[in-house]
Amino acid sequence: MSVEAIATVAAQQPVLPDGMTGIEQATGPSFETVLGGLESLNAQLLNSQNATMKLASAQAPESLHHTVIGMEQTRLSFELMLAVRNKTLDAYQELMRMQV
Amino acid sequence: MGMFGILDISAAGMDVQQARLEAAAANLANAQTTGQAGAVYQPLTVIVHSILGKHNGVASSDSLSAESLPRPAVSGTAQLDVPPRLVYDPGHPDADARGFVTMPGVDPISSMLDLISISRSYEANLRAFDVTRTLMQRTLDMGNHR
Repeated sequence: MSVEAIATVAAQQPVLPDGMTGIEQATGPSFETVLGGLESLNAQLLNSQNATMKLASAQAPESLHHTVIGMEQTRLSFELMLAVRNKTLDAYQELMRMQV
Repeated sequence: MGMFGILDISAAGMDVQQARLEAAAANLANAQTTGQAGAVYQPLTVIVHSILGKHNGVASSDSLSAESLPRPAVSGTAQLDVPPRLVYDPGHPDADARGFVTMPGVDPISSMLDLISISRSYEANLRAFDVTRTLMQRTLDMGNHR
């Protein structure tokens, strides 16, 4: 099928809303910063796993309460990550459900 | 440290109570030892001081953060200067010329009172920790009940 009739239109710039000159890069923190946070959370998880192992094998440099407090801190950090993730996902799904 | 600074304060309190418990346990464990050649076990006590946080100064109300609050720390252990008990036991190998054996001046009643005080103080720190943790948890759950 010949599209020569509309070829001149297609060659033009994309249609943009008023006041917009082009598509710009999104500003603000990228996902890399989120991933960095996840990595430090993972390190925290591994640390408390190590501390638990050391405590269980009686070579703990730290006392029982320090180990438990460290585990609780890790758990709270994880739940914070989970809360942020759930909120982000909720927002995304809300946008996807939007009628256009 | 941010949001976990307050948990460190409770941890410092538990550290102190643990050190006190170790000293009390050592005193009770060594209560029945006998002294050889005048050297007898001296009951131990733990010296605890309150040290200021990183910001070094009394926390003003507008910059009140967990890092700047003073927290307890064990400065060291000291031997209590109490006279030894003299027990008449002439057949004992450590008995002196008059038949007396020297034993540490550990007072069982005050040791037991110490144990109660240590236990309650440790529990108080645990409770503070628990309340902090519960509130953090409840904050994270905020907005999840739609």
